Amino acid sequence: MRKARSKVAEYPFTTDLRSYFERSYGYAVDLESLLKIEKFVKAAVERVEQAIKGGEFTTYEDSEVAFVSFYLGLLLAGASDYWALRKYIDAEVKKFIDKLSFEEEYTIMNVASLLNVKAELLSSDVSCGHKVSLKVDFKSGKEIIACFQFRLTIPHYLHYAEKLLIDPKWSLLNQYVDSGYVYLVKKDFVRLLEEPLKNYLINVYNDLSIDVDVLNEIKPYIQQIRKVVKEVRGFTSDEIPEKREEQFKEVVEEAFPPCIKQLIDALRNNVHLTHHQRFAVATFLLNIGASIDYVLNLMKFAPDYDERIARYQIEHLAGLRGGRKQYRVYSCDKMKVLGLCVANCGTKTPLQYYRRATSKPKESVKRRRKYAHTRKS
Amino acid sequence: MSHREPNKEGDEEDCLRKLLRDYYKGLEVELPEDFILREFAFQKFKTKTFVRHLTFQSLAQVKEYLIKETPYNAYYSIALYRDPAAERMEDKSLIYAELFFDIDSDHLPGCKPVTYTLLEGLELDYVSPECVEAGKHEQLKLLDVLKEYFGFSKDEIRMYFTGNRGFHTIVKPKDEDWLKLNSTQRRELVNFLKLFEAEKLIDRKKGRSTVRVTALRRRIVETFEKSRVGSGDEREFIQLCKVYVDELVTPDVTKLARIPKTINGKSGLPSITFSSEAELHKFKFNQSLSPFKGEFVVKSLYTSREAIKVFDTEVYLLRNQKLLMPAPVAVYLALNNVVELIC
Repeated sequence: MRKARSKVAEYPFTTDLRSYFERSYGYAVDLESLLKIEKFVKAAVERVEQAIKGGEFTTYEDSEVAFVSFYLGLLLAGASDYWALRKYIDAEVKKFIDKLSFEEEYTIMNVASLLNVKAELLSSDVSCGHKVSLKVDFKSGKEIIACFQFRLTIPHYLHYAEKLLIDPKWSLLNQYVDSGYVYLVKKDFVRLLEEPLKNYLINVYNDLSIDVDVLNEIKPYIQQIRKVVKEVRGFTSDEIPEKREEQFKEVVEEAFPPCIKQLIDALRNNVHLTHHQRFAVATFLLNIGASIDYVLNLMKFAPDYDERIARYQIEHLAGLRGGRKQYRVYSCDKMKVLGLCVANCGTKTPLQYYRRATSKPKESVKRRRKYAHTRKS
Repeated sequence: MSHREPNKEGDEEDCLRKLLRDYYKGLEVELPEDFILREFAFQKFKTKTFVRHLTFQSLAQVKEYLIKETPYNAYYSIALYRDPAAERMEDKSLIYAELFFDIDSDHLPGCKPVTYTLLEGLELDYVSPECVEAGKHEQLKLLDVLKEYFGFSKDEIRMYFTGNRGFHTIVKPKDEDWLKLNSTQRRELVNFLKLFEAEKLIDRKKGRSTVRVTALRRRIVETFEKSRVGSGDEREFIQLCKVYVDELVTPDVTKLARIPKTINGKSGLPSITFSSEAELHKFKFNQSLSPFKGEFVVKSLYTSREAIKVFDTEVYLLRNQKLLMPAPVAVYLALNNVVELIC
């Protein structure tokens, strides 16, 4: 029983609240009741604050506190601020992943199947799962032997590793690939679970529901968390939209090309964009004449936003700093090469799409004028 | 045909169209079974403008279109759509897209396309047999990676010589997860083939006691074992391992591939299907690939400064002069508007 409890404390997401209480006490306990128990809520708020501020995390001796506070933290973070929820999930997932790589293969495999990650365990034998020997030294003919414990199909690998591919370490070339499969060692396979785990936790959060009355009771905690968000980020998520609308009206978002639209949507959903993706968004916006603040306000959605760094970078792209060169947005060809192109617009650059889309009304005005002219004559 | 009204095109050009029309009359059109869900596109014979977003319900309809229009080039989409005829890509509603790899012989290192400048200033580009041979070599390398590393079997792969300079490879894997790969993920397949940033990956291993067993290393080792040349420097082998596919094609799920057996408007040769690797090995770029046999009389529209070599035939052109030449050469020059065919 003790051992089972400690697993529950270390990887709380592997057991849901209901079955935990049914198994341990013989009956289910609802969220509302748990929110009334101070030791749980206190730990939950602490977990959320630590996730937002970064730094050290408390290890809870009482495994039940560790278990319950994880779920309450998820609920409180999400009820307070969407950005806080992202931060909370990122921090918790990082902790889980770090620990998981020290577990035995079958434990990892259990987590993978919970996350619906399609993979195969090649052997639970620690010595060697799938053995590959390769002559690495041309002159001496020296061989090296590698052991892989997990494999997944190439499409599955590309799916789970998509965000990591920008780093050459995760490129397909840098993995062992054979006959349609990517072979991985334990540590790498565990790292691959990071994104699926984040998505899993967002779904867990979406499934948590509480009574509106209880929401009133937890208001003080929500306010406390929002205060921390404001301290760290400078503003809360619901303060941004108004700011955007009132300040920048010259940008016609409806006329954005599909590739840029998609990136901005992702950004607004607090998705972590790659360097190329951010560059594409920022240069596009600056090129169509958006102000530095407009771009900055968008970048604020990024989970790793730092105003000082972001402002400097955007001013640099706008040609106000450094080489005083205003950067141009990528061409459609370049966007295609980078895998950022999502539609066939028939344009040379995303800018051309925007200009065409924004100039359309003018064209029709011209046509109408021409028509009026012919009628007159 | 006899009751047709005379038109501006003139008899000479009709002669070329009639030739193409007769070819398509005898053609058995070959398309994937699911062609109803694919978009068709054609480059018009005379104007060379593109007509897109067409669909066909039967192979007979496709054939009828080819006979009627004798298109300069004929294509079908590698993607399947719920509404292939929709004009905007976002309205087509993509079901999935096959994997598409394109090798252009004239973009390979070491291949320079030949350009003949005619006396009147017109430039005639010609992809030499040597370049096509280099393309074939590249195609064999691609096939090796597709089979050994990506794990595709030969019945999942369709391969074509496109009639001029290119080799098209289309893969429809049984594992449907491949077909759903997005643009970024398909881009990674290109990076794998072209050994993107391989030098960096080799460099980062320096000074480390353990060498990682990776696909990159395996490809270098295998290339070394096959060639057994050079100093054994990894960098040399990186160049040999690279498969030069067009990096803009594979990530683009909206791409179009040439319809098998249709005539390539740049060369007059049909797109040729290779049913096996052995057939690809045997492939030679020469005028016997042409469906047009015998000799044709042409009238030259230009004067050449030097001998123009098309396939294995050298011709000298003098403006307005009538010449007899092998049919494939005549069709090649007629399609490039250098000569007029005379029936």
